[in-house]
Order: sequence, then structure tokens, then C-alpha cells
Amino acid sequence: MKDDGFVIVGVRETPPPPAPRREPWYRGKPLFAGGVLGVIVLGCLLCGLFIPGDPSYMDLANASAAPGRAFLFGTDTMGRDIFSMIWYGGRVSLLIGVAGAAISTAVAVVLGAVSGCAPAWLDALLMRLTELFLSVPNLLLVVFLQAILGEASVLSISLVIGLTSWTSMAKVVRTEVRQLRSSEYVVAARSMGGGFFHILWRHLIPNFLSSIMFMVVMNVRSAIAAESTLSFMGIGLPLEVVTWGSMLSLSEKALLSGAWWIILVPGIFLVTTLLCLTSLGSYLRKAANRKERNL
Amino acid sequence: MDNEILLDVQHLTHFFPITKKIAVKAVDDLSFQLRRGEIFGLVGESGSGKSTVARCVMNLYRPQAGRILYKGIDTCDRRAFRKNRRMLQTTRQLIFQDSASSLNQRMRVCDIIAEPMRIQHITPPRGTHRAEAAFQMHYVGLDPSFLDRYPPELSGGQRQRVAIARALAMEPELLVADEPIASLDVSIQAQIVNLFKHLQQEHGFSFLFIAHDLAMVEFLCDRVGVMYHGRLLEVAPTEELFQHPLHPYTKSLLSAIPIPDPVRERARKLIPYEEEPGAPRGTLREVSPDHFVAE
Repeated sequence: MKDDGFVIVGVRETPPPPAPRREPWYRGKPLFAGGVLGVIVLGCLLCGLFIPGDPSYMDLANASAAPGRAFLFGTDTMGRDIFSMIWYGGRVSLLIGVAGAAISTAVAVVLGAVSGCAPAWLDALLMRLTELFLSVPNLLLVVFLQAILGEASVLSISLVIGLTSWTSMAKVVRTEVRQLRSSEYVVAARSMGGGFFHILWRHLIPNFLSSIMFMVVMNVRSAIAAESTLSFMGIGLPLEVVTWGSMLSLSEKALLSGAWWIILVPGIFLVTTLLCLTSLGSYLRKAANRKERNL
Repeated sequence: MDNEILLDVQHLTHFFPITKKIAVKAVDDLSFQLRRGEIFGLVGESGSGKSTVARCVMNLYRPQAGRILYKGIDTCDRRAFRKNRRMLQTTRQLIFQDSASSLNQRMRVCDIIAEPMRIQHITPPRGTHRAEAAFQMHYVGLDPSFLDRYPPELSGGQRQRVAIARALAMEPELLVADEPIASLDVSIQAQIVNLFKHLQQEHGFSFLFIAHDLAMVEFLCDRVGVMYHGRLLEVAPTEELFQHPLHPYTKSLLSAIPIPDPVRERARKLIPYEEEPGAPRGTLREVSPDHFVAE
């Protein structure tokens, strides 16, 4: 008899389960919007490389020329080449969008965090002030502020847009900070002597950033839209500063003369950019909601 | 251990208001002293006010009445606190119960351990913050390979060691630990308590150890105070307290310790404790040397 007195018993060996198919990294991500936005942003940043001339050069002989070989997107009523204006104007429009969003985010984070950390009376005061701000029509505020600041420039218009669009983000920041401020690592940092800005920068912002990220992107979008609105109405940047908005402000004359390209080309670029930003923003919001919080 | 009193808590009282009329008396006229280099254990059931005492000692709560003298400085007095802020914030350190929430999960371990030094702008004695963090980790028995990990990647015991390293990085003279082992499993509890004992012998800090595990307290502490409903009922050297408990509540508490011997464990009888409703609020009286009982 063979020596089989000692047999290993135990868990029955099972074949390893087939490896689950790896999800491709791009699944569920806004690839198309990101790609289009990337092309537009890169084109605006690098436009000096592929556009030789001065975008504001007025070729009066070719005013209101239709799109063709010489002028890809045509020229406007003052004879400026729309193709080069689109890229150079995009620089300014995107700059205003980013700067306006940055200013509004900074104001919202600081005010929201102060309100979240403050004692009840100061919190109530700040939040009522925020609601007061929120209830005044945005456009009215912008016009007032712009009137105070005087002649519009890229900087002043970003400042005005930034200073009028922080309210809803400040409310979100305040709610998040209320939750975070009693967590023990904040208490620990406080008992070690950490100041308000240390705690805000090291502990609070990293923890609530994901939940305001989509609002930041949406603020870029609304800042670009606000600049176009203002310029279109003629209370924004002056005509000689080329932006998508100031290009659109020529449209009333263009409509009368039947030059559709003057209004359509900047319009398409503007709407495409806004759509891409919206798509990115809603992706970020979904991603932030999906994540497990308060763990 | 010398007899210099490091921390002197006098008639400490702290309420938590529920409504305008009703308040919970978390700590009620509590006095005890902590000598330099001593491990003082504070035990009591849940809700007896142990953590409130710890938070009052660390200036996280402002007590309604009473004084807390640390090195002769009244830490509840705003002016005295402000004058000695830096000394108070560096020489007293706190360890929390739940290391998962007392460490910011978005900070790396090396940043967590170096945080108090960054806050107080102390040049680390071992050159860089990173080297100092590695040294402190070695000191509490952690491998330096954890330096770049995030807290959720560590186990509970490892996280609590990180929290201890953060507290010890400041070379504290008073360490307050608020149930530091309650959220760990038994074998890790033993490791951490041994670590505390070892570290205390090396550093010689005074240690306010709050727990509800009597076996751990008996092993670690030099003196023990028994709390019940916000009051101290009995304070005595550990051996004396466990051999000759005088207060009925202490007797009841000690009778609840499980015995690791099935025969004796089955014979163990719980002594119930009922507070007589009309009983006068006792003051501590010295019965035998260093043994105080409320009467």
C-alpha cells in the first residue's frame, strides 16, 4: 500500500476567475469636448506661429469680403481678417474667462471659509450679505461696477466679472467648511497653533476642491459669456481690443449688409467653447458626486 | 519622577447647553494634579466627561468655571494664554482616539509628522523636515518607506503611530491622549501601550492617559482617577486603587474587569452601582497617603 495516510485537505482548488476586461481609460470621459477645447486653446496660444500679420490691420480695399482663398473666414466691415482676429481675440476672451474665474474663486473660497469658521452671528451676517448680492441682477451690478472703475480694459473687466460671480460658490464652500471644520485633523492643527490660512490651505482646500471644481469651470464659461454680452451691448471692451465679444458687436451692421460670416464665425467659436466648457464642468460634477465622501 | 506639579486642574466645570434652560454638566467641579514625569490615568464609563477634561486641558473648550494651571500659567485666562501661546502650543500635545479622522487623508505621512514644525517655524534638528519625519517614524517603530504614503493606505495601528510621532516631534512636556487605543484591536492595543510606556521612559513627559479599559490603565499608569458623571470619585496610585478600592463605584467598575481564566471568570460577580438620588456632592478627602475618595 502506498503511503497515503497523509492527505492535504483544504479549500478545493478553483481556477482563477478570468481577469475582468480592463475598462479603457477614456470611458465616460468627455474626450470630444476636451479635444475641441484643447485645439481652440492651443490655437489661441500659438496663433503667433501661423498668423504672420497684425490682426487689427485694416485692409479697407477688401472690407466685408466673403470667405475665400485670401481671407479664410472673410473680412469684417473695417477690412480686418476674421481668421486672424478669431485666434488673437480668443486669447483675450479666454484670458478674461480664466482671470474672472480665478478672481471669483479666490473671493468665494476666502469668504466662504471665513463664514464657515466664524461664530454664528458673523456667519449669518456674511451669508445674508451674500444673498443680498445674489438677489441683485448680475448685469446691473456689472454695469455699476464698470462705471465706477471707468474705462474698460481687460484687467478691469475680469475684475468686474470676478467680483460679481462668487456668490453661489461661496455658499457651497461655506457648507463644506462647516462640515470639515469640526473634523479632528482641523482641531489638531488648531491646537498645534495653525492659523486660519494654514488650515485653509493645507486642510480645507484639498478636501473641498473636488466639490467646487465644476463651479470653477462653469465660472470660466460664464465669464467668457459675460464679456461677450458686455462687448456686444457696447459697454464692454472698446472695439479696437479684439475679442470674440467685440467681434460680435459688429454684427448689426453686418446683418444689414448680408455679411453672414462676420456674425457666424465668432458666434460658432464662442458657442463651441462654451459648450465644451459646460460638458467638462458637468463631467467634473458627476465625478465629484460619484466619489464617496465623508469617509 | 519628582514632585513638581506640572498641571493643576482646579474646580473645572464645563456645561454643554442643549437649550437656553437645559445644559448637560459634562465636567462638574473637578480637581486633580499631574506631576512632572507621571502617567495619570483617567477612567470612567462613556459620557462621564473624560474627553471634555482633555479638551479643556488642551484649550479646545473654554470651561465655564475653574482654573487650569500649566506650569503655573492659567491657560483659561486669555491674556496669559496669548502671552505664552508658543510655549503652550509646543509643549502640550494631543493624541486623538480615531486616527482615521485625526490625520488629513490628503496629506502624506512625512507632511503630517512635520506639520507642527512647519506651523511653529521650527528648524528641524535633523536638517530637513523629511529627515526629521523619518527619524520620528523610526522612533515610534514605523518603517521609513511609509514616508510618502497617505493615511488611508496604512493600518489602524500604523496610523496611530503616525499620530504619536506627530505629537512627539515637538518634544512635548505634557502629552494628552484621548482614548488613544480604543479604536484598535487587542494585539495592537498592547503594542501601542508598550510603545507609550517605552516612549515615556525615554522622553520623561507627563502623560494624561484617558481610557475606559481598566487593564491597560493598570499596566501603564502611575496614578488613576475614576470619573463618574463629570466628577472625580476616587484618585489613588494604581496599585492602591486596584487593591483597595474604597468608593462603591470604583468597586463596581473593578468588578467589571473580565478575568482571563474561565473558572474564575464564571465565578466573577458584578457589583451594581446605583447613585443615591439625594446623595450630597462629595468632596475629595485623603483617606490614606495619596489616596483620595469622594464622600
